[in-house]
Formats: sequence, C-alpha cells, structure tokens
Amino acid sequence: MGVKIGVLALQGNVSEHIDAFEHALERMGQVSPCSVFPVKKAPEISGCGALAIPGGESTTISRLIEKNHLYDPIRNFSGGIFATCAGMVLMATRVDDPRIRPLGLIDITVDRNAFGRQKESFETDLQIHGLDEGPFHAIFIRAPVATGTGTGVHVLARIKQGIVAVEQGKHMALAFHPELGSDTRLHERFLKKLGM
Amino acid sequence: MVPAESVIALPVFVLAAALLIDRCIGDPHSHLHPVALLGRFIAWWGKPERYTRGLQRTAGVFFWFVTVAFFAIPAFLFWKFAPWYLYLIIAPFLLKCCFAWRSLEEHALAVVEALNRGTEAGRERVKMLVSRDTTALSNDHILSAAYESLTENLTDSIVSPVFYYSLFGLAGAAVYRAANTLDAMLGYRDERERLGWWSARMDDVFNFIPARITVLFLFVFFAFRGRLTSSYRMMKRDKKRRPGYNGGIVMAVMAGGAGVRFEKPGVYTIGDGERSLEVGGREILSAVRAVTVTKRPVARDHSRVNLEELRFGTELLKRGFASMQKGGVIMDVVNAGQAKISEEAGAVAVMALERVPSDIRKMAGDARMADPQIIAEIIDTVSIPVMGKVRIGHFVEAQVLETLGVDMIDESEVLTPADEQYHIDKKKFTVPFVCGARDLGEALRRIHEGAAMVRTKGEAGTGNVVEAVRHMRAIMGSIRVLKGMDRQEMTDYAREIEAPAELVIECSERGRLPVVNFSAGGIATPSDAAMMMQLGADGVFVGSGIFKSSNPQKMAKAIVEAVNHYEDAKVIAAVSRGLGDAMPGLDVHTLREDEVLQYRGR
Repeated sequence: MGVKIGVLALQGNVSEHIDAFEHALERMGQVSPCSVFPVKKAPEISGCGALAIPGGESTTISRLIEKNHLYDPIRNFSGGIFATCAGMVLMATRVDDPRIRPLGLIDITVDRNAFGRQKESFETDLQIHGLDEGPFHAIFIRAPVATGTGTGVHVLARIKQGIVAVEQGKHMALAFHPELGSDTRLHERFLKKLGM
Repeated sequence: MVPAESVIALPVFVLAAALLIDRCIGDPHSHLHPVALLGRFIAWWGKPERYTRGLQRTAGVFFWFVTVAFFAIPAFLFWKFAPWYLYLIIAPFLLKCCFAWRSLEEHALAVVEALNRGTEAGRERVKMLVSRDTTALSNDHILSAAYESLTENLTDSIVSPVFYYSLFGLAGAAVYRAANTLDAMLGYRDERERLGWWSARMDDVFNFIPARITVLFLFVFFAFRGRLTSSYRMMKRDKKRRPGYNGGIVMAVMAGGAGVRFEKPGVYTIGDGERSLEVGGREILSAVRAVTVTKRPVARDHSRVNLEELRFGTELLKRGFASMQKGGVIMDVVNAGQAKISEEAGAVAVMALERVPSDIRKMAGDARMADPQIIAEIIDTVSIPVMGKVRIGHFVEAQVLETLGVDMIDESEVLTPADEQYHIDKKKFTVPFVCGARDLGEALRRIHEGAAMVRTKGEAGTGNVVEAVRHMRAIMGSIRVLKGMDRQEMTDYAREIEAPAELVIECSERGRLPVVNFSAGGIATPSDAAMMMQLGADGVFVGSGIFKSSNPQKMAKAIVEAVNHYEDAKVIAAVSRGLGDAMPGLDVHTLREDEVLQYRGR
C-alpha cells in the first residue's frame, strides 16, 4: 500500500513542493510506492500519511483554511506535517499577528517577516543539527523566525535573529525554503522519521 | 641519513602525517606551492609556438625529463641526506604536495552548490575543473563534468601518489606528481598534441596499475551495494569509449555502479543513466569516500563556506518571491484604506499606485509613480507584500520604490513610458520586478532583462478581459508549439520572436515560462479571474475591477475565492451571486490607437 503525501494547495509555491518531495523519494530509492499530489479538501487530507504546508502569504493561507473549513482537519491530522515559511507561521502556538489563527501543532512563538521586507530576503549556508553532509543552502524570503520554544521542540538550526528550523514529534517546520533549491536532505529526513 | 631501525616506521609515519596535514589544511593557494612552481615552469616551456613543428615532439621528451628531474631530485636528495629529525618534520609537507585528499570532493561539491544558484554559476565553477568549453553546457553536462573530474582524480590525486610513495618513497611520489601535472597541462589533441605527446604517453604508463587498483577498490565498494554486476558489465561495455587507457575503465565502473551516465557532448557517453546525476552523484561521493577511507566529509571546508555570508537580491530570491504569490490575487490600491480592505479579503499582495487604470484613462497628462507618502502609509498599514508601479524605463522611480521598501516593482505600460527604447536594467536591483507581455517574445525579453515575474498586459482599465485572454493564449500556445520543435527550429524561432535562444530552449524543456506568469489587464469578475487561471495563469492582478465595483469588499473576497477554486464552477457561481455592479466595461475596439496601453514598451 503506497503512502500519500499531500501538499496543501490553497495558495503559494505548491508545485515546487510536489517536485521536491518527488525528488526526495527518488533519492531515497523508495521501495513502497509513494505519491505526491495537491490537496484542497478535508477528505483528501485525512487520506494522506504526510502533509506539506507550503510557503506563500500566511494571512491569505490562514483565511483560506478557515473559509474551506480545513482548520480542524489539519489540526487533527494524524500524519507528519512538513511546513515551510508561511507554513511555519501556521504551525505555531503563538503568532505576533491577530489576523492569523495558528494551528498550535508545534510549541513555538513566531515572529512574521522577522527580517524585514523583500530586499532583506537572503540566501545563506546553515549548519543544521543532524545533517552531517555539510551545511544546507537556505533561502529566506520575507521569512519568519521562532523566538521561543516549549518543551518537546527540537531546535535544528538557529541564526542570530532566532530559531529557523524545528522538529516536534512527526512535524518539521522551517523558516526557509528547501523546496526552491535542489537539496532534499530535509525532505528525506522528514520522510524517514515517518518510516517511509 | 635515516637510522636503520626505523626504515619501516618512518615512511609510515610520514604518510600518516601527510594525510593529517591534508585533512587540516587542504590545498592552500600560494605562488610558492611546489606544484604551482612546477606549473609555471611547464607553462614557460610548454608553448608549441616556441618550436618548429618537427622539433616539438623531441622538445616534449627532453623537457619532460628536465621537469621531472627538477621536481624529483630535490625530494630525492632531501630523503638521502637530510638528518632524520629534519626529515621527520619536513617530509610530510613535501609528500602532502604530491596528493590531494580533502580537496577531492570539495571541488565537485562546490559545483553542485554553484548549480543550486543557477546554471551560469555552475558553468563558472566547473570551468576551474575541466578543460572543455563550458559556455554551452546544460545542468546535466555540468554535473557530469564535475563528477567525471572527481572520478578521475580518485586515481590521479590519491591512489597513484600513495602507490608510488609506497614503492619508491618521497621521490617516487614527486616523479608521479610531475608526470601527472605535465599531462594535465600538455596532453591534449590540439596544437599541443606533438609537444605533449610524450607527457600523455607517460601518464598512461604511470597510471596503468593505479587505475586498476582503483577499479578493484570500487568493485569491493559496489559489491557491498549489490551493484557489482552492473559495474562490471559497464566496465566491459564502455571502458574504451573515452580516449586513453586508464580514465575510461574507472569511469565506466563508476557509471555502472552508481547507475549514472557521464557525457561530454559530442565526444563520449559512458553508462546508461538509470538515474540522474543529481541522484547518482551521492553514490559517487560515497564510493570515493569509501575508497579513500573518509568516514564522512569531515571537512566540508568551513573556512571557505562562510556561514555568516548572506547573499541578497539573487535571481533565486527574486523568482522565489514571485513563486510565493502563486494562486493568489494582487489588488490595485490607491490608499491605505483600500490596502486594508484588500488584505482582509485575502489578497496575497497589493499594488500601490496613484490612480487605478480606469481613472488614468480619464485623466489628461502623464501618469507616474505614486506619491512616496502614500506608499509608505500602505507599507505601514498591511503586513502582506506591497508592490508599486513605475514608468517603463524609469530606473530612478524604481530606485525610489526600492528605497521605500516596496517588495516588487511593476514596470508598467499603464503609466506613461519614460523611455521609448529601453526597459529598466532589472538585474541591477535587489528588489524583484514584474513586467507585462503580450506574447512569448516580449515575455522572454523581459525575463532576459531580469524580470522575476511576467504578467499579461491585457488592456488595463477597460474591465474587458478580451486582451488578457489573447495574450495568455499567445504565450501558452507558443510554448505548446515549441515542444514539437528540435534545437535548430527553436534557435530559428528565437530569432523570429526576438528572444534569447537559451530562454526559448528553457521554456520548451520546462513546458512553461522560466518565471511565474500572472494575468492582468481587464479582469473584472470572479469568472474572469477563474478563466485566466484555467487558461494557465499562476495568479491574477486585479486593477480597477475591485474598487470601481459597487461593493469592493464583497468583490475582492469573491475573486480570491474564485481563484482558489478556479476549477469548481459551483464555487464560482456561489461567490458571484449578488455582487452588485462590476466595473463598467469598455469595448477595446472603440479605443483610439494612442489610448491603447498595451502597445507601450515592446
């Protein structure tokens, strides 16, 4: 029985996430067939083993989650969630913006646009805990940071401004965009933890 | 002279120390590095034009011996006559100069990393490794060159030097290093062919046994991976495909074991390519690490990969920003109040301008960038990205918007053009740009100038979607046509549409534009927006359509939902109910030519 990986397709860079997961599966030399596809509806989500919440505009995605009645289905999702950028904002327990109703799945406090505007967006090499094969080239676009973490949150990477990569249980949240580069080590790590 | 009792212990110690030094410092760049001196000497005599044709071969033999002697005799004398304690200290450094262990994979990884930043960066980086012309290499060919070089260096940089050191000591390693460098600089089939003939032959001789030792090591590694038969079969089949006696056999074993294909365009192809080099490359790295007993890349050189180095305004960041807007609606706003309404309705971004296009049509005189005061207010009011329009070619308006902190600049035909010949050189800016286009040629010219997003021009301020449809169909249709063309036809087509050939080829390979493609110009209803999405738009800009309708809040929300569910007619029907009046539409055919905005800036 193949495992399904759903990419939440409300808004944002959905196709890049699909491509990145497909690459990751190929690199892992997947034995059981997994498929990656966009999801928009509650029944589609509950049928998945893993879910990705892509980058995009967190206020827009949050609003569309409410509008499409996806808040509870995602909150009660039993698989692992892989969240980047806007996704990290949504996964938090506390966000600095009242217009966003965070899912509270990872016990972190998040600051949106922590680095400023687009001209302050940057690329850099990050040392990520548990990735042995050298630094990870990370792309930060109007990125958030986590300013605080609760117990049970495993910090994977931090920079001067704050925490930029965390894991809690099956979930992983990143302030940057691994799906925009061709390095899939984080995707692979996430899938391996789910036993794929 | 070395004390007799340590004949065995001393060489082993020197080797271990040399390996340790390599691990710690890698290959420092210095003009005084012995191999750099060697290189300069070869470069001095190795110019074919110095000799007559008939003399080149003899000169090549003669200077080969001079060079090898020049490099190896000091090593020999040092080993013979230096007091043992001095030898103990200095020999490891000399031996270190004869091999490269740590830098082996660093070079290949640097190419992979550069490729992550773009094809051009990859080409630039791989040029340092290989002698081939890199200007026309595709991503796959760049990776191939990098991994081929890694595979070749496994023999040249480590197995051979250690082999000759164990047989003949320091002088043996030095002779090998000199011979190998001679081949690397002269052993080519171009004007250097005669002068380098002896160097190439001698390199074949020197590497004959070491290459086969490397092959044995690789077989052991691939046997553990269950890939022994594939690597053996590929060795049998492809070992002769590459010129020379030694390179081909190692490469064929590597290609077979890792399941990849090495390709030097027009020269050779080795292996079947069951998987891409992106994927198989890791297996090559593992093989190299196993053979050289590197546990893992202990030293992914952190002194060179500066962890604190931040890069701003790269192509990847600009296109990445554009990509985050996908599936979204970007709304034209003229003040902070409208921006707030847009944000609450679920816009992904707002576009700040002085007047919406339909008012620009009514107004006399030039339309220009919005008042910085208003832009600053909008930036302070909303947390979503704020974009701003500048006149075509007006790079100072663009500098102003960048300073204000605008997230993306629209070089827009809706405003009065400032330059009838040139668009803004968008690559000079840190902030990304979006530009309008009516067809593929125009879109690719803008991308070539540095646009990170393209949008259809449509006919702004008319509330009539017909032109946006025409432009979207033209772009998508041309890309579909491209898919059936071969390279020559594409180059020809590129000339015809006045677009750079490499971008035309990229479109055909990807089946889409290399950047995000939005729709704009005349979208007035939820159905208009959904239609543009179904025609292939990645998202939409709505200009006058929202704030010229009778109920902007409702219209804004309806369009956001229609874009979100663009394939679901039920949702579109539901959100379109009771919206009140949409903006009044204009028949584009009644416009005078000077009123048609889309003709501005081609």
